[in-house]
Amino acid sequence: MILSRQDPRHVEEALPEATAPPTGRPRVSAPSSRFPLEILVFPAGLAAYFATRYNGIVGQNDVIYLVEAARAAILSGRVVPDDAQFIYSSGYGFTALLAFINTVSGLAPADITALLQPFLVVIIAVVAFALYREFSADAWSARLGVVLLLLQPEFLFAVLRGTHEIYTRTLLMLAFLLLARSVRLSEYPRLLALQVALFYTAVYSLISINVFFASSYIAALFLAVTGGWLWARFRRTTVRTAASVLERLALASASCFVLVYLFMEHIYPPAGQHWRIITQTATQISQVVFSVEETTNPYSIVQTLWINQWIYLTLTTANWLVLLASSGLWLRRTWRWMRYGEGPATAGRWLLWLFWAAFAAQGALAILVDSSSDLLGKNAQHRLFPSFATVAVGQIVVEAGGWLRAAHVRSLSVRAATACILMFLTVAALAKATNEPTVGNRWVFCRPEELVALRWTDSHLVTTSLWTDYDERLKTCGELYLGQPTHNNVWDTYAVEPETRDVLITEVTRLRSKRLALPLPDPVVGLRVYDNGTAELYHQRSLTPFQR
Amino acid sequence: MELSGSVTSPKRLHPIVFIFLALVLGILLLPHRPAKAAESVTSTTPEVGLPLQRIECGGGRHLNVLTLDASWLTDHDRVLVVDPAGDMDNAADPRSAADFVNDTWIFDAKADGRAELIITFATEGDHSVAYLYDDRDGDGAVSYTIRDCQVRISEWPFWHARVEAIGPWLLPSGEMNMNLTMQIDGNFRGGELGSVWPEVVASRLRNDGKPDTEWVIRDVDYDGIPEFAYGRLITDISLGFGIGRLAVMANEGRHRPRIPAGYVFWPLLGGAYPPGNIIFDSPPYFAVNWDTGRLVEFLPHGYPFEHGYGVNSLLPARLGEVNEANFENPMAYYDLANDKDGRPELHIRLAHFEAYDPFKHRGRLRDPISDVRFSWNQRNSPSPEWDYKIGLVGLAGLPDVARLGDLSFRTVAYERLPQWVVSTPWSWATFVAAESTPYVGSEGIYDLPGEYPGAELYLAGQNEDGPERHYTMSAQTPISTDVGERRYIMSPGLRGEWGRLNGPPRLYLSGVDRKLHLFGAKAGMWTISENQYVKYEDLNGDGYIDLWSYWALVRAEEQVNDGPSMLIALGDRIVHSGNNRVTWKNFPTPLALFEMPPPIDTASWHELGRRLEEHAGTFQPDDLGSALARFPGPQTTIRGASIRDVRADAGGFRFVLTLLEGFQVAADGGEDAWLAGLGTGSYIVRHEPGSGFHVDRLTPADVLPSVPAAFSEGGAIQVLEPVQMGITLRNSGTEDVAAVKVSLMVAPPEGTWRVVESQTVELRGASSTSLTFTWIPSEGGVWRIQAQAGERVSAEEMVVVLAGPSVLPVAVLLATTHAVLPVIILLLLVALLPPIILAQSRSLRDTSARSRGGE
Repeated sequence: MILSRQDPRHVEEALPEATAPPTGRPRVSAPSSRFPLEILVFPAGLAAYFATRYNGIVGQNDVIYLVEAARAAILSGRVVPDDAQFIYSSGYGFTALLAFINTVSGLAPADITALLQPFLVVIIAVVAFALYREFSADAWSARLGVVLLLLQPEFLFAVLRGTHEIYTRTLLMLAFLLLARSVRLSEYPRLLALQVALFYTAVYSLISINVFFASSYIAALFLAVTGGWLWARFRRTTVRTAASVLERLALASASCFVLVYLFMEHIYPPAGQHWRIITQTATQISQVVFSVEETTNPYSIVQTLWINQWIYLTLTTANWLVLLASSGLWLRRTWRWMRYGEGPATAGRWLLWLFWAAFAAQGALAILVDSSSDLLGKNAQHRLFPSFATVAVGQIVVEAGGWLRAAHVRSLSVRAATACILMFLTVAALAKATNEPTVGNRWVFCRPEELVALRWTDSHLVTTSLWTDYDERLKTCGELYLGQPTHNNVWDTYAVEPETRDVLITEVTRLRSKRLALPLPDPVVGLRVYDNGTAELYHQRSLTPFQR
Repeated sequence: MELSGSVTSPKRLHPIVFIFLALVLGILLLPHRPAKAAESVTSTTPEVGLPLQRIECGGGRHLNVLTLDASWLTDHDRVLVVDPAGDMDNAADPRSAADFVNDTWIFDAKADGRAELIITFATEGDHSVAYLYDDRDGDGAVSYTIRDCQVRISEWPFWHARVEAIGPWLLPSGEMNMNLTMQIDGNFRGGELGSVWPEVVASRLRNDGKPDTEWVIRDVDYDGIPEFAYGRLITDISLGFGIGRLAVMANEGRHRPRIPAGYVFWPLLGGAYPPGNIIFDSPPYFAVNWDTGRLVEFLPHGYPFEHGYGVNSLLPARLGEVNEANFENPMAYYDLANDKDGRPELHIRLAHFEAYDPFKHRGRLRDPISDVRFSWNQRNSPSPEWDYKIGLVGLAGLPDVARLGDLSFRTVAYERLPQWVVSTPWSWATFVAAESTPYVGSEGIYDLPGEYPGAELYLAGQNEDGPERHYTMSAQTPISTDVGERRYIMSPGLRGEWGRLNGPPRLYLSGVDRKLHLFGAKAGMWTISENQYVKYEDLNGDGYIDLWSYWALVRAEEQVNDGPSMLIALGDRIVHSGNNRVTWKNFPTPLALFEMPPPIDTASWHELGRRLEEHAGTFQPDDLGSALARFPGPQTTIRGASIRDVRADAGGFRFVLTLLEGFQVAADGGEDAWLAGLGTGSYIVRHEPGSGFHVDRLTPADVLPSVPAAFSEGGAIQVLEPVQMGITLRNSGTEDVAAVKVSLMVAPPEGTWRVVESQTVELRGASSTSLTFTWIPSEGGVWRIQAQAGERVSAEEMVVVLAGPSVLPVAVLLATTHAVLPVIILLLLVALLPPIILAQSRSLRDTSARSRGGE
C-alpha cells in the first residue's frame, strides 16, 4: 500500500520499523523536537489548585489507610510492624516512600499526600508525553494527548487525591512505554536488554506499590496476547515481527505473573489475600456471565453524589469524549484492517490497538463485577477507567492526531474552538476531581475549626461514640490530620448509632443538612458542652442511672 | 512506501514460552505440606512370632524388640517394645525390662502388622517424657521403620502429643504421679479446651512442630491427689474468635482420683472409668480411637465439682504474669452440707468481663460487667438438683488474684466468693424457686437469667433498654426473657421474680404465701402448669410482694373466669376477691416472717433450712382465699362483688369495687359501715391505714390531650432541626387507664395529617401527665399540629416553620476556603492553557511546509 504524501496520515504512520529495515545506529526516540517544558505548567497549575483549594485539608477515605500504615512504619522502623493495626496489604512501596520522604523532609505523611504529592503529576505529564510521542511519533499530538489525559476527571482525581496512584499510574505508563520501545528495538540487543531491564524494574516497582493495580496491568498484557494471537490466527497481519511481538508479550505477562506470585507469597506475605480476591473475581465474573440474577445498580449513587445528574454528565464531558472518540476510532481502524485487508502498520500501533481492547474488556468485566457483588468495592470500573483512559487517549492521538494538527494549522477558528473546549474541560475536570461542593454533595474538605473541635472532644471524652457528619468527611479528616481517635472513642458517621449520645454540629454540617435535606441528629437538643464558634458539641442528657 | 511485510501471521509461539508458562503453573500448584520423610527400603522389620528378637545394627550395636500379645481392643492385639539401650539383655524375664524410661512402644491393635500408635519414652533430666505419634495421613496407621538401632517414625515429622512427668510416672505408693505437663501439637480435644473449636480455628492448629495447647496438672505434695489443673491455648489465635483459651480446674475438696484401671500398659493410655460424678473422679488419660489410629482426647472424666472451681476464659493466659480471665471466672461449687457425697449444694457461676474486654461490645465498655448465677440445693436431695437460684447483674470488678503454680489470674477467691456475692451491691436480680418439679443439672438453674441480651450496653450507659422490657409480665404472658436465639420461658413448676436491687441480695419468707422471695422483687410469676399460674407484684414498692392473682387459661390467650382470683396484703388489710365474692381482714404487719441473705456456708445453709421448716405452711394457688384463714380476727364478706384495678395509693391502696345486682354483706364482726347506702354499680375504694375505707362513685376515664407546645430555642422552629413538642394529658375521670396511645400529628402547609410519633402511657384517674415528642419539620411554612389520645383529639394549632437561608453557592464557597489563591490559580491556568497548546501553531506550520517541501 502506498500512501499519498498529501494524506495527513502519512505523518502518523511513517514509523521507523515500518518504513525501512534499521541500518547503522538505531534511532531510539521518535522524530521530534526538544521536550516542550511549557507543557509542565499545565499539570503544575492543576496540582497548585488542588493543594490550595481547601487550604490543604482534604479527607479522602482511601488515603487514611495508607497514611496510617506509613505512620506505623515510621514509628516502628519496619514496613510491617509486628503489632500494627494498619498494614497496607497491597504493597510496601508506598509506605516506604512516605516514610522516606518523612525522614528526609520532616513532613507529616498527611501533608505529604495533600500538599506535596499532587505536584508529582508533573512527572506523569513527562511520561505521558514520552508514551504518546512513542506511539504517534509527533510532539504536537503527544502534547495534546498529555492535556487530554490530564483533563480526564477520573484520572485527575486518582492522581491528585494523595494515594499511591500518582506513582502507580506513572509506573504503569512507564512500563507501557518501555514495552513498546522494546518491541520497536527488538533487533538491537543491547538497547533491547536495557529496555527489558527497565521494564521489569518498573513492573516490580508497580507491584511493590500496589499488587492489585499490577495484576490489572498483567491481566491486560495477557488479554492483549490472547487478542493478538486470535487476530494473527484468523487475519493476516502486516507487522513483520508479529510472532516476536506476541512472544515478547507472552513472556512479559508470564514473567510479570511470576513476579506477582513471588511478591504475594514470599516477598510480601500480607499481599497474599489478593489471591483470594483474584480467584473470587474470576468466579464472580463467570457467575455473572452465566446468570440472570438482578442486582443493585452500583452507579445509581451518582444521583446522590451530585446536585443533579446533568451536572455529573457535564463535569465528566472529557471522560465521555475520550470514551466515545477512542471507541469510534478503534472500530474504524478495525474495520479498515478487516475490510481492506490492511494490517497494523507498525508493531507499536498494533500494541496500542490490542491494549485498548484489553482495557476495554477489563472495563466491561468490571461493570459486570460491580453489578453482581461488592468484592471490589462496587467501584472497579472507576478504578480501571484511568488505565483505559491512558490507552484511549493514545488511540485518539495516534488515529486522529495528524488530522487534528492539520485542522489546527489551517484554521484560526479551529484553534479558538479548541482553546475554548479545553478551558471548559479544565474547569469541569477540576470541579469533578475536587468534588467541588458547590455542585457536589460528597464533600471532602474540612475546616480547621472542625479539627480543633475533634481534638478537644477526643482529649476530653472517654469511650464515647461521637457523631461527626452524614458521611465520613469529618472522620477521615480527623484520622488524617489528628490520627485515630484515642481513649477508646469512636467517630460515628452516617445514621446516628443507638449508642451515640454526643454529636458534633458545625457550620459545614448545617450547610450539608440543608443541601441534603437531612435533619440534624436528634441529640442536638441535648446539652451544649463545647462551642468554638464554628463547631458545637452536644451531649445527650442522662436518661438512666447508668448514663453520665 | 511498501508497508506490507514479508512475514505474515505468527506460526507458533516459541517453545520457551510454553516452558515458562508450565513453570508458572507448577509454582502455583506446589502443595503447602510438610515434607514427609522417605521410607527406607533397607529398614529392618521385626519378625512376628518371636517374643524377643535381637537385631544387629552393625558396629557391635544391637537393639531388642519384645513382642507382647495383649487384648485391649480385640482378643488378639500386639505391642512391640523396642529397647535400644539393651535393658532386656540381662533381664531374667525380658517382660520385666520393658519400661517407660527409654523404650519405644509400638501398639498394633488387632495384631495386623499396622501400628495405630507409637509412644517413645525418654528421660530428660529427672523428668519422664513420652512422645505420642498417631495416624496423620488418614490411612489408619503410623508409618515407621527400624534402622540404625532406632525406630524412625516416617508418618509425620512431628509428634502429636508430649507428656512430661516431674519424676517417675508412678509414685512410690504405686499411684500415678499427678505432676504432669501435656502438650498437644495440632488439634484434638483436651478437656474443656478444644471441645467446640470452629473449623476455621482448628485448621490453624497444625501439627507443625510448635505445641498449640498445654495442660498442666499438679499434685504439689505428691499425695496422689492433684490440687489443680489448667489448660492453655498457646498458639496465638485472633481475638476475633470467641474460643476458650484458658481452662482451670481447682480441686479444693481434695477429691482423690480413682486408681488407673483398664489402661493399655501405660497408665495414661486408655482407661475404663465409669461416668464421673465430679471432676477428678478419674485420673487424666489419653483416649484413642484404635480403628482410625487417632488420639481422640485427653481429659479427666467427671463433672461438676463437689467442692472446687473451674475457669473458662476466652482471653489468652501467659505464665509468670497476672492475667485477666473473662467469661466463666469462676464456676464454683461448694459442699455446704459437708457430707462429701459427690454432689455440691451451692453453685456460683460468675460470668465476668473486665472493662474494655474485647469480647464485650468490641472492647468499648468502660466498666466491668458481672453476671452471677447463684444456685443452691436447700434439701440436699440425692440427685444433682437445685431448689433456688438468684441471678445478679452489676458493675462489680474482681478483687483477688489466684495463683496456681506459674499461672496467675484475676478472680474472686474461691473461699470468699459466696460472701462476696451476697455483700456486693447489684443493679438488679432475678430469683427462681423450683416449686414442684425438681430442677436437675450440673450448672444450677438456667431459667430467668439475670443478664439479658444487651444488658451490658444498658449498664454501660450506652442505651436506655433497661430490664423492665425484658422481664415483661402480662396477664396472658408468663414472665420471660429472650436469650439469643432461644426464648426462655419459666418452665412449669418454677416460680420466678425480678427486681432492681441497687444493693446486696436478701431473701424473705412471706407471711402470706409462706414462700421464699427476693427482697426488692418488683413482679413475679409462678408457672403451675402451662395454663395455670400465679402472678404477683409489689404494688407499693416497699420490697415485699403484696398482690397475688391466680390465672387459669383455657388456651394461651383466653381466661376462664371473669377475672382473676386476687389476694392483696397492703397496709393493715388483707383482701381476697374471687368467684364474685370480696373478703377482707385485718393483717398483721410486717409481711416477712424472716429475712436473711442467701446461704453462703454450712451454718447459714442449715439456718435457712431450719427457718423454712419452722415457718412451713401451705399455699394453694388455686384457692387464694384460703390464705386468709391463717390470720385471726373478724372478716367481712361481700357476696356478689368483685374488685379490679388495684394499686397502692397514699400509703394504702385503692381499687375499683363492682357491686352486682343483689349483693349481700356479711360483716361477721368486721367493718362494713362504709358500705352503707351503696347500691349496685362500680366505686373507687381507697384504704388508708388507721382511717379505714373511703368510697367514691367511679366515673369513666376521660383522657384529653392538650394542644402540642413547642420548646424551641428562641421561639423559632427551623426546617430540618429537631424541635421538642410537649403534650399534657389529663384524665378527668376517676377510673385508671392502663394504656392510652398518644400521637403527635402534623399537617404541612399543603398536605394532610400524618403521625410524627406515638407513645403509649398509663394514666391514673383524676391525674395528668406530660409527654415530650420530637418533630423535625421537613419544609417551611405554616403547619397545623394537634395531639390525639385514644379517640380524643386536641384543638389545632398553627405553627410557623422558618425555611432558613438556602444553601447558596457562595455560602458553600465561603465555608470551604478563606483564600483567593486557588481562584487566582484557576484563572491563570485557564488563561495559560491556549498558549500552551496553541503556541505551536507557527512551528507546526513550518513542519507542515517542510513536509510538503520534502515530497
